[in-house]
Amino acid sequence: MSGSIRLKHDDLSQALVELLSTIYEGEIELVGLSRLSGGANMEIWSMDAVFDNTSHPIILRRMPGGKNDLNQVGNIDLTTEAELITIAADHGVAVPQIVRVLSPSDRLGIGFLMSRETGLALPKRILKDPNLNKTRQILAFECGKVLAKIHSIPLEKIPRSVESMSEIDINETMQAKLNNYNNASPVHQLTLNWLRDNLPSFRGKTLVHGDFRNGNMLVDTTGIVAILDWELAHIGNPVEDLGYLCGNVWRFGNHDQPVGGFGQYDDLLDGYRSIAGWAPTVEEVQHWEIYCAMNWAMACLAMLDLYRSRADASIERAAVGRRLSESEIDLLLLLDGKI
Amino acid sequence: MNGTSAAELLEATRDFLLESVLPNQEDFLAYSTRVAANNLAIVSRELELRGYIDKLDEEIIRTLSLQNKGETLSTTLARALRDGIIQVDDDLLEYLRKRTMRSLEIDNPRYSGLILAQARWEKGGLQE
Repeated sequence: MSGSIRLKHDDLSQALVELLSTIYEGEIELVGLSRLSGGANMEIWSMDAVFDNTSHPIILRRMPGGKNDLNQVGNIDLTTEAELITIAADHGVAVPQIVRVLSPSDRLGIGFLMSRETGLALPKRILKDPNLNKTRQILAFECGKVLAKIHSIPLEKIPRSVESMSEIDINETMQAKLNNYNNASPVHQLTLNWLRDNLPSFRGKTLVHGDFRNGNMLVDTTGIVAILDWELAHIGNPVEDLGYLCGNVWRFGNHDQPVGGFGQYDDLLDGYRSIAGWAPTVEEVQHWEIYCAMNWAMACLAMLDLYRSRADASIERAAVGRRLSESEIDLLLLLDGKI
Repeated sequence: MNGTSAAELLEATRDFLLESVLPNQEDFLAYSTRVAANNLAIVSRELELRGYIDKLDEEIIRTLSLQNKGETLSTTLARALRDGIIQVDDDLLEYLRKRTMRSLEIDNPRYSGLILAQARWEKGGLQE
């Protein structure tokens, strides 16, 4: 890949010290640089920039290996993602603060620096931590409120590179992907046939986060601290985000708590209605859970393809490719009685 | 006495990763080590359980009188569904349910969808 840079830990550290010293206008000390797990399709580094006896907690999000080519899994590039996060903040959505969008002269690849906010991100800890017992009871309602705020951002504020995708576009894209990946699953195909014959209700076009789930939000005892991972953002049907949040794969074993494994449909819809003035029906949300399971299948296939093509031959990519059967069982359950 | 079996090699390697390697790793490498150990566990289960899937595949080939086109059975079925050559009927649906459950018993036996599906369609556990 031409123009790609692969930095070793020391080089990374050096490049970061130089950049952060420019940002804070003085020599900084870089402390605790470490790669965080959890981001299989993105490199995420945590660090503290110590300047003037103050420690600034920082996160670096960039393409794996510091490469300069566009993200092959997400819908938008990291520069657009940084732009969207700033716009979301302007509209009252809790997000990290963008510290700097990387430019080529920074020698760090494509990506951005943002503030590292406090709170838990690991889904299973959010579902189990005793300190969050009370928080979990309000979390579904809070999610509804945040989603309604995201969906209320005027379309003219959204960067043009954020694509618009109707259900018909989504179905066509999925068929093209299934063909491209050798039509490996009859379950995915029969689901797609069903989705083509049963289009969801039209609910207008809004910004859709696209990856709004337990695991992509920071939570502390006060509730949602920040919404993360905007790389799958697009313009589409707002109910998609609600269905996605309720997909079984993102309930982390708590099947009887449809909203992220921590809450009930009615609380999510009440929270949404409290800001938006309307809310979809539970059936509409469940329709989009089918898309969520298909989405997970597409993500697994894309990551498997990155592994097989050696574009990113990491052990995580290989492992995710084995999770296709999760989407298949969820789809067969969701379609039970419908086909 | 035979040489070490594939299952034993996998088990020994997995134990080594979890007991000797993992305690010395942090952050991303600890996470990757756990993923590596889990990959080996999947292969162990596949060695043990793959026969159930093969049997289901042989049955559906006979039931639907499918021709071998030099591609996997899943691909043949997926393309036939895409092109409207076959429709979803009870036989196919039952096959897909069973096959998916058998796959998950290998890939991720603790997945909530599997447990739900077994309760709904099999009253729990393996069915011959």
